[in-house]
Amino acid sequence: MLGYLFRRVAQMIPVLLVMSAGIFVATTHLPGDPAVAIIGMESSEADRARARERYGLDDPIPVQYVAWLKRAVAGDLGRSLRTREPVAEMLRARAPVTLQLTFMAMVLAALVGIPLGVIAARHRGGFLDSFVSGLALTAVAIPFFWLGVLLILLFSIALELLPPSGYVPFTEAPLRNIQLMIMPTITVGLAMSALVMRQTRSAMLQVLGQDFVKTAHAKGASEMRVTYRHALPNAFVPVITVIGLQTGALLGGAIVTERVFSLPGVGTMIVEGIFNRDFPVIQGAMLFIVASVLIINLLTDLSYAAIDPRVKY
Amino acid sequence: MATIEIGDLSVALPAGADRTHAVRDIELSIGPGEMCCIVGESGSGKSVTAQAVMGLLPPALRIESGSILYAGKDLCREDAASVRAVRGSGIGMIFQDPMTALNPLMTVEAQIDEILGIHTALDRKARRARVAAAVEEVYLEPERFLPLYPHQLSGGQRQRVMIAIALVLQPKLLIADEPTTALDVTTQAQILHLMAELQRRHGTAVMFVTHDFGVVAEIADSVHVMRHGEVVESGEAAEVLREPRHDYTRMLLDAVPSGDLVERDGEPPASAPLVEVRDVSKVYIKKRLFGSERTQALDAVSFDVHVGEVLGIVGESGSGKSTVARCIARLLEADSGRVRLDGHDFLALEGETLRRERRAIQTVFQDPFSALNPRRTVGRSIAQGLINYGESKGRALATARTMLERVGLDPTAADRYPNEFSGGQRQRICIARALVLEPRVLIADEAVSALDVSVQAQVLALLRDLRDQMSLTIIFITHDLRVAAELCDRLIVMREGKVVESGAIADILLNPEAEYTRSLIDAVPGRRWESFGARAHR
Amino acid sequence: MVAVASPRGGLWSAAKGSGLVRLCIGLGTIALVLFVALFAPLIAPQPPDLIDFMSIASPPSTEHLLGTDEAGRDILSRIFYGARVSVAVVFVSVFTAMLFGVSLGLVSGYRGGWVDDIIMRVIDIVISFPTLVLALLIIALLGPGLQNAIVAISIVYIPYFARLTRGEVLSLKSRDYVSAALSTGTPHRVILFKEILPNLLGNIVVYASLAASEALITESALSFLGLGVQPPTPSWGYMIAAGMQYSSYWWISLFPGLAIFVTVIGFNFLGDTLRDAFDPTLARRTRSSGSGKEG
Repeated sequence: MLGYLFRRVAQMIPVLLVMSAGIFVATTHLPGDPAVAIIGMESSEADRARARERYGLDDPIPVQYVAWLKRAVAGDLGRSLRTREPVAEMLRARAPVTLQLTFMAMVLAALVGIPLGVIAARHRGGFLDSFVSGLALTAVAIPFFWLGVLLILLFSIALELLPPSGYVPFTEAPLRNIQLMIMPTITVGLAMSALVMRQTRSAMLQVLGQDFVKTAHAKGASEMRVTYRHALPNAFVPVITVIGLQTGALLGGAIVTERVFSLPGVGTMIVEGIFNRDFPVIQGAMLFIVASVLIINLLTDLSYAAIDPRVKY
Repeated sequence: MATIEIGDLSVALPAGADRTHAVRDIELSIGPGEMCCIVGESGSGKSVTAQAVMGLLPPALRIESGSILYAGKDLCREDAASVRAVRGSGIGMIFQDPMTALNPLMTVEAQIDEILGIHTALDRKARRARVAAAVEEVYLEPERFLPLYPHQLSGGQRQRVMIAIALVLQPKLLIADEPTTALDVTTQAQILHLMAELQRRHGTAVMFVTHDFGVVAEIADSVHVMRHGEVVESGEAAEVLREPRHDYTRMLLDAVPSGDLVERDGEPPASAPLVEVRDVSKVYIKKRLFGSERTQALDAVSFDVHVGEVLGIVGESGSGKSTVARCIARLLEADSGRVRLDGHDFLALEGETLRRERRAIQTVFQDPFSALNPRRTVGRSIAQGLINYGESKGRALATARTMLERVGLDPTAADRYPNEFSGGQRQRICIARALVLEPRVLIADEAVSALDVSVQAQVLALLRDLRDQMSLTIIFITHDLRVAAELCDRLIVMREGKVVESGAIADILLNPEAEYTRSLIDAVPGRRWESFGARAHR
Repeated sequence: MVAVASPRGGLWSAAKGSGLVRLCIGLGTIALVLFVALFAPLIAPQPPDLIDFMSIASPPSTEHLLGTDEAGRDILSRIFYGARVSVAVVFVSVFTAMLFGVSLGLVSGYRGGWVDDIIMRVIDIVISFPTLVLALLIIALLGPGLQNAIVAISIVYIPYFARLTRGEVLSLKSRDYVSAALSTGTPHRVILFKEILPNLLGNIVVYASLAASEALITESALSFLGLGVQPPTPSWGYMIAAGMQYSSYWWISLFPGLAIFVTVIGFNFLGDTLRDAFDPTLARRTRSSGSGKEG
C-alpha cells in the first residue's frame, strides 16, 4: 500500500509542475509587463527596473520559473498588489475556512446521500424511490448560491435563528463556528448529496443485478445481509468515485458560497483578486486550488486501493 | 422417497411476453444420489425451473400453481423464513458464470465461512476447520487458496469454490444451472468429474441444467427434455438417448454434432496451398504503473490452407485461434510474419491496396447480434461491400437479394432490419454478406458457437452446402471438436499461441500425436455415447 | 422507412406513460425559455433598464408582476432579458464544446496510438478540475465579461465531450459490424461517419442537454460573482447577487433563481427523455430467457 502511495505521489508531481508552470506563465506573462504583474500598475519606472532585476525578469522564462518555484517552496508567494500582505499569509489564514467548508459539505453529502440511495434502490419503482429521486432532482436543479441566499432570508431574516455571515475558527469557538457553518454547508453540500444519492442508487441497482448476489441468496442470506454485506460494499467503488470527483466540485461551490455568507476563505480571496487584477493573489489562490484538487484525487485513488482488492498496488 | 418432487408447477410470465408461462405443468422427481439432467435450448424454461425450486425467481415471474415437495414440506406454501433456512443447507445451488458468481471483495475463506455462519452455530475454530475441509474436497489446497480473492483464481478454480460453498453443509439436493457452459472443455471435464465424485460420496441428488447432450450422455442417470416451458420427454438417460420417443427429442439428438466424421460430397479438396501462413506472431503488452505485462498471443504460427478445403482451427480460450484469424483478415495487426495469398504477402498490404485486396478474405463472426449494424437494412448491409467496390446500388441490392435466397432466407428480408431476425437467421445474413464479394477464403470465427444446437445444425448444413456448390475454402474456428468433425477436412490444434498439431481430421481424431490433443479429445463430454470419429456416415 | 432503433420511434415509446409528462415538461420548458429569449423585446412589459421612480424595490403588484429591484426596474422584464444571456451563453458554449470535443474524441478514439495518448493525457489533467473551479481559473486569466464566460465554459466542457466520444468510439470500433465494414472494403472515413458517428450521436445529444443544465448553473454562478456578463445587461445570476444586499426585499433574489431552477429542470427532463429514447436496449428486445444462446 505504501508503495502505491509513493507511486501515486510520484505521478502527481509532474502534473503539479506542469500546472504550476502554466499558472506561472499565465499570471506573470499574459497580463503584459511581468513587472507590473509583480509590483502593480502604480509603480514608477525605477521600481519596475528594480523588480526586473530582483526577479530576473530579463532571464529566459524557464529560468524565471525555476526561481519562482524555489521561492514558492520556501514559502514566498509574493505580496498582494493592493494590501502588500504576503500571499502566503493570506492563504494560511484563509485556507482552513475553505477546507473546512468543503470537508463538512462532503461529510453531509455522504451521510445523506448514501443511505437515501440505498433506500431508493431497495424500494426500486416504489413510492419511496420516486419520492427520493424527485427530491434529488430538485436539489440538483437549485442553483446552490441561490439556495444560500434563500436560507439566509428564511433562517436569518425571517426566523432570526442563525447568523447570516461571519466566521470564527473552530479552534477558538467550536459551537459558534458550527452555528456559522450550518447554512453554508447545506448550501454547498445539498446538490452533492443528490448526486451521491443518485450514484449510490444506480450503483446498488447494478450490483444487485449481478450474479454473486444470486449466490448470496442461494446461501440463504437474509435481505439485510445481501444489501449491506454484499451489495453495498461492491457499490462503494463507483460511489467513492463520485464523492471524490464531486469533492473537487465542492471546492468550486465553496468558493462561490463564501461570497454569500461573507466567509473569509480562498474563494473571496480569488474573486477579489480577479476584480483587482491582483496577480500575486490570483497566482497564490490558483496554486492552492490546483494542489487541493490533486490531493483530493490522490486520496480518492488511495481509498479505492483500500477497498477493492482488485486494484493492483 | 424422492428427495425433491415437483408437481404441476407453473410459473407465469408478465403480460406482453411471447407466451403466457415460463414453465407449465412441470412434473419432476429426483431421488437421493440421482443425477438428473434437465436439457433444452434457450427459452425452454429449464433455468426457470431450477430457480423456482430455490425460490430465486426474478421479481417479474411468479409461481402460479403447483407444488415443490422437499423434506416433507411444500416450498411453494412455506413462508419466506423457512424457505431461506432451506437454501444453502438443504438445497445448494451453483450458477453458470464463475467470473461473476463470487463476491469480488471477499476472500475464498470468507465466502465459504459466510454460509456456515448463516446456518450453523459453530464457533470460529470449528468453522475454519469445516471451511478447510470443504476446500480440500474440491481439490484446492487450503493454505494456498483460502486467502485469495476471486479475481486471482481461474474459471475452473472459481467453480470449484462455488461447489465447495454449495456442498459444505451437505445438502440433500444440489441444483446446478449450466455450471460448465462458461468453462473450457478440459476444465469442464474436470468439473463434471468432480461433481460426479462428490455426488457419489455424499449421496446428493443433483438437478443439472444444461443444453449440451454430450454432458447428458456423460453423467446423467435420468433426463428431462424441455421445450417452450414444458417437459416433452423424460426417463432414464441411456434409454432416451438411444431411443427417443418424442419428435423434438429426436430432432435435437439428430442435430447434436456427434463427433462422427461426415464425408463430403463432390470433389475432395486439392492439396495445393491457397494461403500460406508463416511465422505469424503477436504480443500484447499491457502497461502497468511501472513495467509492463507481456502476453504472447501468437508464437510463430505457421500453416497452410489448401484450395477448396475446410481447415479447422481448434483450441481453448487463450489459444490464439481467433487472434490468428483476425490477423489474417487484417482486423488485427500481427507483429511479424507473412501470409501468402495469390503470390502476395497479405500482411504487407497497406492503404488503398489493402482496401482493394481485402475482399479476398471475408469473416463471419461469432456474435450474430453485434455483427450487423442495427440502423441498416439487411439488404444494405449485404450490398455494402459490392458498393464499396464500384457496383451500382441497384445491382448490388439485386445481388444481395439473390444471395439471401442462396442462404435460405426470403429475398424480401433485404428490406428489413436486423433486430427482426433470430440469431440463426442473422448468421445466414452474415454469411450472405461475406459471400457476395466472392472471397477466396471464408473465415468462420466461432460462427456457430452462440447458436442453439438445432440452429447450429442448420447453419452447419448450409456451410456444407455452400462449400460443395461454390468450392469454398473455409477456415473454421471452433472450440468444439464435435462441431469440427462435422465440417472440417483438416485440423489444426492450437494452444497458448502455438500450433500443437495439424493434419487430416480423421488422423487427428483417431490417432492424436500430441498429449494436449489427446486431452482435448478425452475431455469431450459424451465420448462413450457414440463411437467418436470411428465411422463416416451421411 | 423508420428503423426501430431510430430516435423518433424510440422517442414515442419512451414518451408513453410517465415519460410523456417528462417529455412535455422538458420540451415545453426549454421551448418557453427559448421563446422568451428570442422575443424578449416584444413580450417584456417594460424595457429592462427603465426606472420606475415611484416604486423602487417594491413587492409584486399588478403593475410589476414580479416586483421591482433595488433600482426600480421591473423584475419580470429583466428576467425575460436575462434569458437572452443565459440562453446565449449556454447554447453557444455547449455547442462549441460539443463540436471540438466530439472531433477530438473521434480522432483520438479511432486513430489510437500516440495521438490518442497525448490527447487523453491532456484531457485527464483538465478533467481532474471541477467545472466551476476551472471556469473561475480561466476567467481569472482572461478577465470578466460575456465573451470570456463563453470561452471559459466551452473550454471546461470540451474534455467531457471528448472523453465520452472517445469511449463510445472505442466500444463501437470493436463491434463486429465495424470489422465487417472494414473487411468489405469500406474506407476509414466512411466507417467513421456512417457506422460509428450515427451510433454515438444519441449519447452525445443526451449528454449535451445535461451539460447544458450544468453550464447554466456555472454561468449564473460566474454572473453571481460579477465575473460573467457585466451590468447593466441583466443576467439571472447577477440579479440574485444584487438582491442579496437587500434582504428584506426577498422577491429580488427569489424570482431570478426560480427562473434558473425551472430552466435546469427543463434541461434535465429533456436529457432523461432523450436518454430513454436513444436507449438501444429498448429497441433490441431478444426473446430468449436463459443461457443466452439464440435460436
